[in-house]
Amino acid sequence: MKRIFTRIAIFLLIAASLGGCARNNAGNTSGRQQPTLATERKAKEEAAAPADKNVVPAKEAAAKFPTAVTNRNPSIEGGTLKVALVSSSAFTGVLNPCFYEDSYDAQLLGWFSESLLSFDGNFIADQDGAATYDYNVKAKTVTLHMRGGVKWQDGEPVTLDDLVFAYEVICSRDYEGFRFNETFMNILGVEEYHAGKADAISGLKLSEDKMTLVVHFKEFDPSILAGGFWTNPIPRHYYGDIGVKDMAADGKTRSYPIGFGPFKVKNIVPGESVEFESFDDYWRGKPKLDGVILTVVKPELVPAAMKEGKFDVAEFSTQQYQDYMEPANYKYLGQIQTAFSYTGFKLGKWDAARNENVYNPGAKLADVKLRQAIGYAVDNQAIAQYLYHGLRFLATTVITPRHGAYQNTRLEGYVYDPEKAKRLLDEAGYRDVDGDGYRETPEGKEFTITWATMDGENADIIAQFKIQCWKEVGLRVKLYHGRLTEFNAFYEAVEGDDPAIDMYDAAWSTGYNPNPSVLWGRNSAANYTRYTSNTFDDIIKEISSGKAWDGAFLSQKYKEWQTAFFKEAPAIPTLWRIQLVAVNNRVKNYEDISNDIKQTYHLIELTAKEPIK
Amino acid sequence: MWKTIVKRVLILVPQVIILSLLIFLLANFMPGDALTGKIDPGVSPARLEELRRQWGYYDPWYVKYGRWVQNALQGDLGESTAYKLPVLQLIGQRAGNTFWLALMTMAISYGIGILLGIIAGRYQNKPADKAIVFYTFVALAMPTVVFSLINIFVFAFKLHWFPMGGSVDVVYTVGTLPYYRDKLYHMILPALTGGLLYTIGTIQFLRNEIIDYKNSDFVVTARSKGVPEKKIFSRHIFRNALLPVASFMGYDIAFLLGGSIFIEYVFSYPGMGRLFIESILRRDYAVVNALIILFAVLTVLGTLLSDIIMTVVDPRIRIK
Repeated sequence: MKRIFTRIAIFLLIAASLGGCARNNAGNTSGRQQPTLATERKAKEEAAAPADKNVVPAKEAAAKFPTAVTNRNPSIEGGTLKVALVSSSAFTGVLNPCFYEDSYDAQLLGWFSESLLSFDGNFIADQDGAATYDYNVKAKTVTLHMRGGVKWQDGEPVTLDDLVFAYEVICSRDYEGFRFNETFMNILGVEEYHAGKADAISGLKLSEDKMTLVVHFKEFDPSILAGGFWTNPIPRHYYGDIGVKDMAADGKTRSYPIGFGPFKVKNIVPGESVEFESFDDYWRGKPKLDGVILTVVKPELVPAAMKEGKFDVAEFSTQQYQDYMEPANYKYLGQIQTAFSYTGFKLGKWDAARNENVYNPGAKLADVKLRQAIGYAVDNQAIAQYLYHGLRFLATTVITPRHGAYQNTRLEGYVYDPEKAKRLLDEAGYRDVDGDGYRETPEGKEFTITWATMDGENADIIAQFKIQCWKEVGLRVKLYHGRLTEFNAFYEAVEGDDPAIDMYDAAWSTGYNPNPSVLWGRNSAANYTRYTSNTFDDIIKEISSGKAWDGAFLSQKYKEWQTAFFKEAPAIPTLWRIQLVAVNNRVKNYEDISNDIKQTYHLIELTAKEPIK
Repeated sequence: MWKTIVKRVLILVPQVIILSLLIFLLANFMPGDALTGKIDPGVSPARLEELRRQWGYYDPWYVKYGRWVQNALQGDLGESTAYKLPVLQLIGQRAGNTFWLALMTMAISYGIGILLGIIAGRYQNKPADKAIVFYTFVALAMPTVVFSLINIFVFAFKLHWFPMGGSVDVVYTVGTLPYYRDKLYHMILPALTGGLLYTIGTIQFLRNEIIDYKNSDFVVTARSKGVPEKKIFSRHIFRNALLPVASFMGYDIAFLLGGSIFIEYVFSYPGMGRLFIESILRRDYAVVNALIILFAVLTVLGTLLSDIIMTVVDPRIRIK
């Protein structure tokens, strides 16, 4: 998620002074002024539209968009698919699953490299991948079985030794990438290997024929199957003697990387574009397309480029959607992301020595009623509706609808209710004693909340609107340093527990595994709220326990956890989001796999020689 | 003259040292580092801490600086944290793009500038002059980003004359004739965009100089001696008027070689200007340091080049 912010940040620095004009000239001919949120909302209120108060259920909003294209036209033989890599910056081109860091490289990797395991709609590994698996809860093992006939793009067979090689690379002491984390440490022998005390990882037991691999885990809970261990092999024979330190910079990663996916890299223009051609020996069958070309394009140019048929597939920004709601030559696919935005409260400190969060009961926002009031005071639906045109919607909880089995649908979320906010503040003892319109602390002292929020798309309007909302219930909120915060400065301050910050707005993507310990756990440095409670600890422990193999139990615990989260409110979930992908009408069998669930790229077909204009 | 050139180049050394020190100090004060905000479900904070330690981010600045100098002296300017490539290799990838684009932009800019400058100066206050002056004002007021976007919209989307961005189409093989032809083809629109905007300085300088010289004593003298007007213009006025334009050429070269951030940005053209901005935002220190020093060297060399050009075109000036 943060990558989105990086992208926005990069764009902003350059376009800060000209951004408005830039967007309008990129084909947005309307050139109309963005009405301020407050005026638009007011107009709506004056019209007394009763529907305004209704929560748009996320699933309903998402149902507006299909997740796959339906195209019944006869397809042509072969053809080249043109995909936009929507980005303001050049892609970095680290085309190796063990080393890449940015999402554009991930998109490129998706066409030629894949995971051995495939994942179902609930993000649980299934048996449709290049390898199948079984597991043993008692022995704490997963056994992988490699399918025969899976080939690397240089013709060599893929074996599980290539997966072992990926582990050896990532767990090596010379490895300088991000991938090495707790999920690796959870495998027996990795700690010793990483420390240089062992020559091999003892928890990886490879069979003679290299087609079966038993992985031994330390802790074994269901999250193991939700992407809880590494399943992307890299070709050992191909990298040969290249050391781990030199692997990322080597030509075998930058210029002619290979995988065992449906397409193989034909040509790369660094930072600009990549040409793929069909890999005829792909294990799921020869791809229908002749090739694919991915080209970097700036977000501002996407609508015009789609209209002119320059691309077949492009991510579409929420901002531009309002002017292109009914395109003639392309369609939108949309899916709820596993991401949410939230307002977090700073309630303690990170103790690096003990590796845990320490809650401070004396923190400025320690009163839970105060925090809830801050949540109820903001009209997030207005933000979703007017600024994001229904492509974002009120988040009722911190588990998104994409993890439907775990989501507590009974929770309503913090639906805008200023009266309730005022009542809560009265109960908590925050009253306006001196009559200046702002409430004072229960002790009668002046009360100001400092709020850190990042610079970005619409950030200014949203910040002013929220401050206004809080003012309406009598809360004085000021921006950290009096302005929106630049990305790097924001994370430095929030990660570092800058005492000047009382609350902050951020976003988080849960990925496959929504286990709350990652973002809200006692031992998570990413738990920027620094809030801890015994209730949380207990439930999180059960979610990560052996008992959780019982699906009903796990789902129940997730729901309990969300209820507890809603009540204790260390953070207020604010918005969920839909990501739109525009797909030209000549494309057939395209599924939005922005979340990488199923590999269906080999099935894509075209129904015309060139993109339809 | 050679002495001066050597002296100037030698001065570069302390300049670069002071500059690199300054950059290091400033970088130290920048909030965040290359790993800030990278935490996500797959990237654990503990891992980032480990890397910060491994990469020496916690060392005091003078230790970092010492390490950098030591490596730099061996020709190693470090590794980009985002690109995971040696800095020199990365800059090498981009420098070519920027160089050719700069060259073409300059050719267009000076070609148009000199032509229009002469016309405007010679036919002062005539319709042609008025039109040219009007053009310079419009171009002066036009933000580069907006002009670039208009050009893309008109020439790439509507007329389909030029590609919408990038430096070359991926389908061509490096080194073949179609590859270079395509590179040239991709360069035309961004170079034209830049050239049409950067040319204003040349036009205005040239126009003003010509107008000044037209009424200067030696021109009046020549005229009174009966020298034909055409000869007066080409011999007496034009050559003199070109001097300030020539003197700025060196700066222009340095400026353009730094890479036009806006044009590279809008045209998704991978050059050094964009690399510079992206690296600052990513806190990719090694790249930022190398580029700032490179820009500094270019600026000094540009100034030197300007001086040399001056001595060549104007015999009155001699570098001592």
